[in-house]
Amino acid sequence: MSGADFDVAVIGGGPAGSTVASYLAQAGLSCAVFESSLFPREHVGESLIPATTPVLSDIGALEKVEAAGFPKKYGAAWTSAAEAKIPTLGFELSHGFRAAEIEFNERDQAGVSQDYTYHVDRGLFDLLLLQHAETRGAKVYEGIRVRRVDFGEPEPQVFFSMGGREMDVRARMVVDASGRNTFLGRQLKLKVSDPVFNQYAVHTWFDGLDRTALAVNKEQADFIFIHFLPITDTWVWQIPITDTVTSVGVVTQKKHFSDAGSDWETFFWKCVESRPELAEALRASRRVRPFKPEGDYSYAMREICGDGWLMIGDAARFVDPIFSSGVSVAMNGARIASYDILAAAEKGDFTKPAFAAYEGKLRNAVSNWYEFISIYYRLNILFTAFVADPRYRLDVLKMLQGDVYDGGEPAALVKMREITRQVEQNPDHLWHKHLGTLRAPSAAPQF
Amino acid sequence: MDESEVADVLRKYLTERILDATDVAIEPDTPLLEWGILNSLTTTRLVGFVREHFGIEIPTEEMVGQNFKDLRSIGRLVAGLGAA
Repeated sequence: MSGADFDVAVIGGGPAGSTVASYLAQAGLSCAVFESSLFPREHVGESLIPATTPVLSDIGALEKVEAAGFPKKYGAAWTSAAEAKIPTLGFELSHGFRAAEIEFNERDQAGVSQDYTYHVDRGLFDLLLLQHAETRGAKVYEGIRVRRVDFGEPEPQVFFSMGGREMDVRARMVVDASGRNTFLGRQLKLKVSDPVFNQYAVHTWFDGLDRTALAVNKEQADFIFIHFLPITDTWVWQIPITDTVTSVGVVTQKKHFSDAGSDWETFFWKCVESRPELAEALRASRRVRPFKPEGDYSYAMREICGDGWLMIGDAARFVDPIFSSGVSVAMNGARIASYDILAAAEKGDFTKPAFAAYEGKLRNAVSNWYEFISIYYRLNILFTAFVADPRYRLDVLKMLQGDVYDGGEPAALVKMREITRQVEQNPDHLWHKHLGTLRAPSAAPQF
Repeated sequence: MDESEVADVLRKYLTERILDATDVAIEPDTPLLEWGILNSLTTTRLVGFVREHFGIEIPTEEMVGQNFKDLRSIGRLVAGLGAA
C-alpha cells in the first residue's frame, strides 16, 4: 500500500491544472492542486477554440461556463491593409481580399454540438475551473508556491511553504501545469528556446471600442479579429471580453520590441498607427488596464514526461498565440494525460513508459500547430487566400477548431508547405514579395 | 477556346469585377502587374474565376510574372492549360 498523501500532486491551477485535477478526481484519484497566486488573477490568452468544448463537457463544467455569460465566439476574421489602391491609376480595388473570415459552424467537429466557443476574462474563467475542480473532489491550495520536487524516491516529494513553514507532501506522481513559469522544465533543465519564433506581445483592455470599425460584415464584430499590420511579422488581436470591454494586443518580433526600450505604451501606439482606422477606433475608446508585456514565450522541452512526472499546457510547450491554441492545448493535453495517469494508477506503475500515449499525441498535436504557425507567418497576408479558397477552407478550419490530436498531418498543411516552397524558390512568383520573414523550420536548419 | 477568346472573357472580368470601372480600356499588352491592376490578391481572385468559368486549374508554379504580365500572356497560359 502506498504511503503517499495524494495520488497526484498538480503544480498550477490554471486551465491545464484544473482540468487534469477534475478528470482525475472525478475518476476517484486523490489529487492536490498547488496554485501560487490567489484567484482571480489576470492572465493573457483570452480566446478559446471549439476543441475546448468536449473537454468542458467531459468534466461537467460546460454548463457553468455557458451560465457565466462569456461572449460567444462564432468565428475568426482577418484584416489587412493590403494594397487598397492602385497608385498609377488612382482606382480603388474591390475590398474582397483585404479581409477573410470563417465560421466554426462551416465544419462539423466530433464531440462539439454548439457552433460557438467563448472569449473569456481569464481571471473569471480560471477561477471557475479551479473551483470546479474542487467540487469534483480535488484539494486546492491557493497562494501556495511549490519550491521544489524531490524525485529521489519512487514517490516524489513536493516542497512548499505554508504559514512561514516549510512543508511537504508525497504523491505517487507530479503533474506540472505551472504554465509559462515552466516549473519542472527549469528544475530539471529541460527547457530549450525556440530557434525560429522570438515573438513578444504588448496587450491591454479598452472599454467602449467600436468593434465593427474594421469588420467587413458588421454582424461578425464579436469574432476574434486578427489585424495584420504593414510592419513585418506583426499583428494585433482584438478579443471581446464583455459587451463593452475588448482585449487588444500587439504581437511582434523581439527585435522590433527591443528597439522600443521598455516604453510599451509608445510602442503599442506606434504599431497600431500603421493601421489608421484601427488607431482611430482605439483612441476613441478608454484604456482600462495598464499595458502589459509578454516575452520570451516560444520554447520547447527536451522531455515532457519521466518517471513520476509529466508536463501539460504551457509548462510543456508554447509557440505563439496566433491561433488561440493555448487553452485548448492545455485542456486537451490534460484530458489525454489523464487517461494515461488513470491507467498508471490502476497498474501502480508511474514510470515514463506509462505516459507514452500522451507523449505521442501531444507531439503530434504540437508539431501540427507548430507547422501551421510557421507556415502562417511565412505566408503572411497570403494566408487569407487559403481561408478564402474552397479547396483549403475546411481543412484550415479543422486546424482553427483545434482538431489536431488524431490522424496524421492535415492535408491543408501539406499543400500550404508545398506552395510556400514554390513561392520561396521563385523570385518571379507573384506572391514572392509578400512572404513574411520568418522561416519555417523545414526551410532553414534549426541549429 | 483560343487565346483571344479567353483574353476577352478575362478583360471583361478584370474591368467589371476587379477595377470596378468600365471606362478604362485594358489592351492585350496593358502591363497589369506593373500598373498594380493585378496584385497577389486580385490575382488569386482571377485564378478563382478561371477555375469557375473555364474549369481550368492554374497550378501555383505557373503563378509567375511572365504568365500574368498582360492579358495576352494570361490568355496564352489559360488556353494552353485548357488544350493540355
